[in-house]
Amino acid sequence: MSSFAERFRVMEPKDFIKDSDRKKIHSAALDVMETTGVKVLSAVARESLKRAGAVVDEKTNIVSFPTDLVESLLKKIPSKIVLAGRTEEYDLPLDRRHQYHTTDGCGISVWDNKAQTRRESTLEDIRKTAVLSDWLPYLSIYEPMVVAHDMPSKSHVLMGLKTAMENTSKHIETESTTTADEARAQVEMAAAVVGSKDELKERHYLSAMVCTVSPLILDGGATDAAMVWAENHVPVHITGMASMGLTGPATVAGSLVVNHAETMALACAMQAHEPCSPILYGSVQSSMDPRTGAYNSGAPETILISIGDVEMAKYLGLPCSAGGIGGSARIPGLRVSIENSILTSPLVTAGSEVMNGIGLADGSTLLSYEQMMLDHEIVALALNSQRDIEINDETLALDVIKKVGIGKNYLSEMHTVKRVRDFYLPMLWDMSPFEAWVEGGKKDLMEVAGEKASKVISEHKPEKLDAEVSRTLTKVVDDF
Amino acid sequence: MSKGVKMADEKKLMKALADAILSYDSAAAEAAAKEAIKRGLDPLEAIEKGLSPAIEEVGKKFEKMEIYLPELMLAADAMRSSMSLLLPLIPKGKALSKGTVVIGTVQGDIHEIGKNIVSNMLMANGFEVVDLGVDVKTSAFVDEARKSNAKIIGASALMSSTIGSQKDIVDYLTSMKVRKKHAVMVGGGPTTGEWSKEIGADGWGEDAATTVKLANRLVKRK
Ligand code: B12
Repeated sequence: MSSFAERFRVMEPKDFIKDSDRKKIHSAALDVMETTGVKVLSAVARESLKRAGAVVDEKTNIVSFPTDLVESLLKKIPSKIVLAGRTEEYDLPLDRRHQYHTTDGCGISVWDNKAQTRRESTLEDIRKTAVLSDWLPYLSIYEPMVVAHDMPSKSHVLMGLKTAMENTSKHIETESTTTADEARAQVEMAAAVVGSKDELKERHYLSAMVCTVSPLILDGGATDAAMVWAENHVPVHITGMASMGLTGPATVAGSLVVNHAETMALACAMQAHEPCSPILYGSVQSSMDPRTGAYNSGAPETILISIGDVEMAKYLGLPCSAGGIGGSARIPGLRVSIENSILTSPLVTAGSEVMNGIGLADGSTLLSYEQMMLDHEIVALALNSQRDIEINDETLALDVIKKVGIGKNYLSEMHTVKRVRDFYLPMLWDMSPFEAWVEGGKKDLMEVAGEKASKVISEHKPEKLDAEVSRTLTKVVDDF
Repeated sequence: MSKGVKMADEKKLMKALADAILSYDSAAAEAAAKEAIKRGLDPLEAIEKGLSPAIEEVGKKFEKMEIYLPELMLAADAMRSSMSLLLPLIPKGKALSKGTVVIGTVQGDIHEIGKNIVSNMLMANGFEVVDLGVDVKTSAFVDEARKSNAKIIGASALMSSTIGSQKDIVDYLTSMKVRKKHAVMVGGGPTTGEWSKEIGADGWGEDAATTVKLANRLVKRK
């Protein structure tokens, strides 16, 4: 395994819901799938489901899923996959012992920390965040972070993807695709990078987020796209968003049932269409603000429900990309950081393998370079506090304890020299004294983070994409 | 006072209507309206003196955070159950609706949660609402507005890639030379008051409560 992936190795996940209760959620969801059914607005998906044995009402587009069918289709999904980087160094195995974070995606504005205001996002922001992400040691997956408003609306998603591919060697997740054609074009681009479409089926360099529409709808465009992803074995993060009280029942358990039914429905459609296509059990569920219905991604209920999603992924034995960070505070800084700190650790402990969301505030709409650095630090702290506690002769250090004896210290021991290298040191702060802070100009953390981000962006040189491949990407974008 | 209905009776009927709204009870609201009609209560008065003060009270409680959105939605549902029985009995010309709002989510966009909340609140506050759903073509907004003689068009857009359609609606109205006939209000995540001004719309609604205030202003302006 590459040393990059080792950075994300965490202790064995802990269970938060017992198996008998997971089973209750599962059975309730199966009941819903069979009796209420799920509305499937993609004709391609309906056709594949019908062929597999689902009951399709052509007038209402509602599909009823017999339980046997669901169980047999789910069995086809690969339980372990590797999300590939542009180079093998950045490959990310999903084996329940690694935990990865993506950048958040599709923001629409950018925070100007000096002026304390927002501006519209552009393609240059995708380039800059990709360069920064390429460098950030605890960031595993890059999602084009914003919408490139300076690009033609027809091809802005493809331009964003091309820019991402050219500026980071890490795995890429695409978020905003809602047509089959756009998915096909992105498959072509990813194939160009890894060598061919056949190669892409093996090396999952690109993965895609596909949302369900809660409650109990699979949207037409996004699901059409999901069928294209399936045909090409592009892993799909099935990302239901049922929000407690709004698009899901107001209880954690009830909203888990809705999400579980939707997730299984899309997973079944994909397996019916293309057996063994890779899937991640996703979700970014939340609770609504009970006063306005607003999306409340930083709420404590969000943590509980995301943990529940992780539990259901474990129940099905599927790779999991449930939950994420991404605070709901309208501006970056303290509140987002508090929300994100609270959100991260329990999900790492529960065993979510891919978590969404570094760098955007205001419910995934506002990019802040400063927040990217802070979130990265939060993620690094969470990962480093969830390491396996190794117990063996070397770590028990009995020899050293006896050698040092009573009342002395361990500073000048070779054992210490070697092992102290494993201690995690934060990137944005250290233990220097108060005076050093005064002399440094009394900077607050946002300022420090912003300066660090700018420095990395101007100095880091990502590994170049082959010029010939770049030309192919340009052609795909131009022809679209 | 309604003709032929005793004062005491009238009071009781009005109270039943109001209580149904205040207890968020659609079935009771329907029953109260039926009873009012049967007993000869003037439908216009039933709405103005029975239902409207009650829904206003609910609105005030909501503003004071005494109740949450779900109660508000239930009260709106109850309001609708009564109104759907009473409104058809009111002779044309005596129309008491504040006016019609044609609302929808713009083309290419299927986000509908915010739009649904807004349209419910508008209905609860005495507007007639024609909800065109999601992924609505520019021409469909305008055609419907003309057909139903709507005072307001409300366009929701949640993506920066789709808010352009809000401008299209304004431009389309202008090109059809009916810009003055229909006020346009816009809303949804990426929109702002500035954006509304920039595209020449008549107002921006940050959330459902401000949208009701905005709509009230827009219909008075006419
Ligand atoms: C829930 C959600 C979804 C749900 C929608 C479910 C539904 N039935 O509506 C689902 C999962 C289907 C979805 C799909 C997609 N989504 Co979405 N979604 C969201 C999310 C998280 C919350 C939106 C929401 O419902 N908020 C709650 C309501 C109550 O708030 P509201 O809509 O703002 O409404 C209030 C006000 O704005 C106002 N208002 C609203 N409408 C109107 C109208 C008028 C006339 C007035 C006056 C006022 C007004 O009053 C409302 C009440 O207070 C937002 C993030 C966010 N922070 O907004 C992303 C977001 C909008 N989605 C986004 C994206 C990219 C997508 C997808 C492309 C993702 C995908 N890969 O499938 C698809 C797009 C599909 C399409 N063609 O439209 C992006 C958009 C980025 C951009 N380009 O601008 C966002 C910002 C998230 C992100 N950064 O990725 N999404």
